[in-house]
Amino acid sequence: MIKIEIRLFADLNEFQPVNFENFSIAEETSVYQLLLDFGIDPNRAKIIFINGKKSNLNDLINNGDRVGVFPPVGGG
Amino acid sequence: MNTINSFSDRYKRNQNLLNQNQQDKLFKSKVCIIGLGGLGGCVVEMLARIGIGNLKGYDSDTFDSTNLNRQLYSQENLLGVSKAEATSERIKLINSQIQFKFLDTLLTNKNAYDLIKGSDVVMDCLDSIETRFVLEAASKKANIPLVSGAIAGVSGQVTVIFPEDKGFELIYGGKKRSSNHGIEKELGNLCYSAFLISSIQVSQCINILLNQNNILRNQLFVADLSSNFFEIIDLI
Repeated sequence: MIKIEIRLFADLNEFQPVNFENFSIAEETSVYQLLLDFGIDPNRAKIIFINGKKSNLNDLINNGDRVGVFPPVGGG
Repeated sequence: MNTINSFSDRYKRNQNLLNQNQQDKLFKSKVCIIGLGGLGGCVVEMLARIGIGNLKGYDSDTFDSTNLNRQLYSQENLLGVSKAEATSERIKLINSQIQFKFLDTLLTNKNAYDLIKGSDVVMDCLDSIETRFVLEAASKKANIPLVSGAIAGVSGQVTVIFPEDKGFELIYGGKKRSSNHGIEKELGNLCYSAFLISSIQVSQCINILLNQNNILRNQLFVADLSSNFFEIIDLI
């Protein structure tokens, strides 16, 4: 297992775990799989970032990574 | 009743932050604001107060009671009034020394280029993802930098797109994108996300006009006010 920080924003926030700053996942987990594990349709993830850099659903998450996910934001 | 004595009095509190050349540069600048709602009203207000000399803006909408929670120029006595007209009336009251033109006009594929041409910066304060792409294409064609803000709930984002940049496809995806709207349709918007994101947009506009650093090109400023989260994401 590895430890990560996972932040789920806006309407995805209801899926964010309580221990989001120190969350355990299996090694070689992709963002796609992580979202499925939370019960989130991966299509809802519009902006994915790992350690401050835009990432993709298929990217694998490493130990210590800071992962954030936003749904689409378009209002004015 | 106090009166405005001079140009320099009006901007006296700017002077330790903007030198005379910079203030003059802003007064000679032309900024176009697309969308005069939650973001656009705040953006216009700040641009007028800081001293941008030429403002123009477009919105085809009228105020309704659902705007009162966040749109700066909506008032109980202005429901049903055009946002463009209300914006003009407001700017007349706060800075009569600048040139401005706000029109009751919908931005479309056909008119986008003509609406923005001649501007030094375009401010994207729209509420439709599809129309943002239309505005981006027109800004690229007109060779004008675009400062884009978007909000949903208590979250928001800002980016800056120069003509040669990839732009919105990095944020919203390419042609396969699924929706014209973000989650603001479900969440609504609180006023403080509009005021925060419009402030970041205006500071980016000033940085561009004054050739300063720290412009959010190929980057996305994101904020989530429910968790005090702020970050700048590198998009490439």
